[in-house]
Parts: sequence; C-alpha cells; structure tokens
Amino acid sequence: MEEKKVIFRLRRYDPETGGYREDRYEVPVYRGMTVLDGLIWIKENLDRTVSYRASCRMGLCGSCGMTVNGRPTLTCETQILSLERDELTIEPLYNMEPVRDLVADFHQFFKNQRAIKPYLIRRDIEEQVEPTREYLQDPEEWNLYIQFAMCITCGLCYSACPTTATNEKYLGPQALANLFRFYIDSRDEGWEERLAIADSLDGVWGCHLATGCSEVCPKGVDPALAIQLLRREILRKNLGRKTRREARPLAPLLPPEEESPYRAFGEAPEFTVEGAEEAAEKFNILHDPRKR
Amino acid sequence: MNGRIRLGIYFSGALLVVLVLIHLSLFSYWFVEEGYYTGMSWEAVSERMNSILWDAFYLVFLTTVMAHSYIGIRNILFEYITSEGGRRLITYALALIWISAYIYGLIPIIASAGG
Amino acid sequence: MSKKGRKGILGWIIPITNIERLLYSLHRITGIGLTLYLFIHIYETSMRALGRETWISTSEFLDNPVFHIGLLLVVLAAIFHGANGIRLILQELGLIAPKPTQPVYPYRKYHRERRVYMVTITMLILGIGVAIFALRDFLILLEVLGK
Ligand code: HEM
Repeated sequence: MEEKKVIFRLRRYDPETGGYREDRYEVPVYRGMTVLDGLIWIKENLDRTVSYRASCRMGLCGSCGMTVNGRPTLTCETQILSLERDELTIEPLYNMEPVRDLVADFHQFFKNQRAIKPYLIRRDIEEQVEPTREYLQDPEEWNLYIQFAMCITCGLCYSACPTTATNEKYLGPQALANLFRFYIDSRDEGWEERLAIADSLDGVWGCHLATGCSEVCPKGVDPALAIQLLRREILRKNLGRKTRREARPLAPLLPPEEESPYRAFGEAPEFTVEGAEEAAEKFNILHDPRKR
Repeated sequence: MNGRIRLGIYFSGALLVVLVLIHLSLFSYWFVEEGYYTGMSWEAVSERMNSILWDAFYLVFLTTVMAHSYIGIRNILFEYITSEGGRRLITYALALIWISAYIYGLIPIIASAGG
Repeated sequence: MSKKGRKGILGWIIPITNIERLLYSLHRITGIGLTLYLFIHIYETSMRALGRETWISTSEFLDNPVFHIGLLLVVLAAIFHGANGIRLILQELGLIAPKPTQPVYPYRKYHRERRVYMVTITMLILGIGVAIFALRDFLILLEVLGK
C-alpha cells in the first residue's frame, strides 16, 4: 500500500508564547491519502498534541482549510501524492488570528458574513414569516446565483486575498460573493441595501482583481466574478441605468378551500444546549425578519 | 468610506493610456538620433511649449495623472491604515502634498504660455 | 504594525497562487514607482522656469548611465502599468464579465480558462509596447554602456 514517505513540517502556533514552532513528522503515504489523512495519522501515531480543525472529511463542512506549501488548501480534498513533493509545510490559514497549532479563528470572517445579511429580504415581512404562498423561480434565475451558493465558508479565499492581509475592515471575497448571491436571487427584494453595503472601499472597491480567491476556491465559486458584477450594478445604478429587475411575484393564491401546506409547518424544536437560546437571540440566528 | 472615488482611477486610467502614449513617443524612438533624446533639447521643448495645443495637452495630462495617482496612493494607504481618524488624516495630508505638486507642475506650463 | 494573524504588507505579495496575483503586485509596485518618478519629474521640469542655463545644467546632471537605466525602468514600468491597467479597467468594472453559471467539476480548471485569455492579451500588448518604446532605448543604452 505504502508508496513513499513524506515529511510533514507543521508550523504550529503556540498561544502561550504567541510564536510559531516547527515540528517535523515522517508520514507513510499511500495512494489516495489526503493531507488531512496525514494529519490524522500523525495525531494517532506520533503526536497527540497536534491541533487542527476538521469534520466531514469530504469537502462539505469547510473546516479543514490550511495553508499547504504556501497555498490555502482544503486539506481533505487534496491528495498528498498529487502535490508531488517530498516535504509539505502546513500552516494555519493566513489573515486570520491563529488559535493553536493549525487552527485559525474565523471570528472576523463570520462577522463579515453576518454583515452582508445572508438571508432573503422581503418587503412584506408578515408574508415571509407566515407564508401563504410559494416563491416562484425558474432554472434560469437559479443559474444566476447557484455558483455563489456553493460556498462552504472554508475561508480559503479570505486567506488568499491581498486586501485582507492589511485591511481587517474589508468584507472579503466570501462575504461579497455571498452578498451577490442574495442580490441576484429573484426572490430577494433587498437590492438597495445590499448595494449600499457593497458600495464602499471596504466593500467591492477594495478588490484589485488578484483573483487568488477564485483560484483557491475548492467549490468553483468565483468571488472575483461576483465582485465585478456587483461593481457593474453599482456603476449602472450611478449612471441611472437599469439594474436588477423587480422580484418575481408570488405564486397565485390558493383557493380558500385548499389549506396552504405552509401553515402546516410546526414550531422549531426546543433548544437543548445551554446558552444556545441566548446566542440565537443575540445573533438572530433564526433570522426572524421582525427582529432585524 | 464611500468607495466610488475608485471609479475615478478607471476613468483617468483610460484617459492616461492615450496621454502616456503621446508623452512616451516624444522622447522615445522617433526622437533618438545618434546619442540621446534630441526631442528633449531646450529649443525643441520650447517650440512645443509655445504652442497652445501642447500647453493644453500638458494641462490635461498633469491634471489627470495627479488625480489618478492621488486616488491610487490614497487607496493603498487606506488598506494599510484602517481607522477613521487615520484615513481622514491621509486624505488631507495627501491632498496637501498633491496640490502643492500640482501647482509646481503648472509652473513650466504657465511660464511658457506667454511665449 | 501587522495586525494579529494578518500577513501585513508581505501579504500583498504572497501567497502567489496564480498569475493575476503576481500582476497585482507588479501593478501596485509600478504604480508607486511611477508616482515617485512623477514627483521627481515635476521638480525637474519646473527647472525650465528658472531659465535655459539651469535647465541645461540639470539635463547634464541627469545625463549619466544611472539615470538612463532609471529612465528605462520607468518607461518599462509605465508600459506594464498601462497594459495591465487596460485589462483591469475592462475586468474590474465587469465590462466583459461572463454570466455566472453552475460550476462543473473540476472547478479550478473552469476558472482558469475563463480569465487566462485576458492575461494573454495583456502580455501581447505589453510585448508590443516594449518593442515600440523600450527595445531601441535598451539597445542604445547597451551601446553607450559598452563604450
Ligand atoms: C498608462 C496608463 C495608465 C493606466 C491605464 C492606469 C490604470 C490603472 C488602474 C486601472 C489602476 C487600478 C488598479 C487596481 O484596481 O488595483 C491603477 C492604479 C494606480 N495607478 Fe495607474 N494607470 C496608468 C498610469 C499611471 C501613472 C502614469 C501613474 C503614476 C503617476 C499611475 C499610478 C497609479 C497608482 C499609484 C495606482 C494605485 C495602485 C494600487 O492600488 O495598487 N498610473 N492604474
């Protein structure tokens, strides 16, 4: 099974000293083994103190982003042999505060994600909370945003971006791509406030098209494209040209004798974790539009 | 911070493509003979500067390039210094430097305008 | 003044993940370089107002290989900045942006193909620009330095 030995050089952050130290591990590599598999092997066989973050191991959860050989990489989707190196240098993601060893803090990243209002904004809030009808959307409209909805918030783009390297106020590629995802969604009606959020030096105008974000994205999201399209919309708006069209009207009302199935949805289940309710309240995680 | 000022860099940049081409061709290639830049002798420059058309060219060129570089440098500094106060300071400090340089740059244009 | 965990100014240059990332660094460096030159250039030309003698003595002072090499670098920087600038104007304002579509595996390949042609065109413009404006200067410079 084993094909060759690869040296893993881990640049580990130590929160006590605030510095980095480098540890070397020799890992036997077999065909198909991913960088994350290598880290798991190290933790199981060589050094149980190594910290990294990972969860699903199949490119869905977006937890295991790390910098491998100077490139932000989703480690569970990167096979060691495909890198064709005898040594791998693994660091925490750039441009985020390191927590310990290879773990980076996503605090600012998710703060930016919240700042762009990642939910459908509707004018008729009562209808949104107590829906009586469906939102309509055809495949063409779906095609416009599905690319940007593929994001798994792994933070690789944020780490590859040159603007985030110095400007902590910059929303970053992920948040801006997500902003565009909602802006262009035919069900959304918040385009005015979305463009206002984007139209800032710390928004779309902070981008210089280095396209590192699109390059490292493991899901084919093209944040650089989203930013360009947002700029075009802002430009159009300022020139008094047509921007995004109106949201599509809702599906026609059902005849009164047919009970709407949407009423049938029950209440959300009770919170089981202590403090979760306060946190949900504080960050409005359930996105109750009446509480915004 | 409104970022639409960045639009200025694109418009001025587009204009600069033409202006820089003209500017470069003055002392490059066509005006090189034997040694160096014959197009840059006192007489050759005087001749150019006496024409109102060239004066207009230089006025537009100077204005465009100053605006372009002001927005550019300000933007770079804004990415480095992110506090509100720091950014305000940058805006005014750079404006001061750029306006002084602009006036300095106007001197040869105005001086030659009279003939 | 590096903020915690952030790469700082070094992060404007690394990680170099793709060619546009490199062009970004070069655009910034040439932009700053050209601005510095602009200020020197304004000072130098303002000498004209002081009359022929001052102007000629300034010209003579500047007439040595170091300044000629410097000037050639400035010309090269301007050509690069201009060629890349045209690309940026077209791309950054979304003037030639394609319509978003559903990504198809392998994703990375899909991005590259979309943008690489713009970089190729930029390089072409750059090549033509250098051939017209800098190549002959460069050869003359070599000749002068050889003497
Ligand atoms: C030849 C025509 C030129 C064009 C087409 C052009 C175009 C551009 C563009 C599109 C940008 C924005 C880049 C970005 O988004 O990152 C830019 C930035 C900049 N330009 Fe120019 N430019 C030209 C000439 C000049 C000149 C002559 C100077 C210097 C006096 C200059 C100084 C700058 C500076 C300092 C920046 C900011 C760089 C940055 O943000 O990284 N440019 N230019």
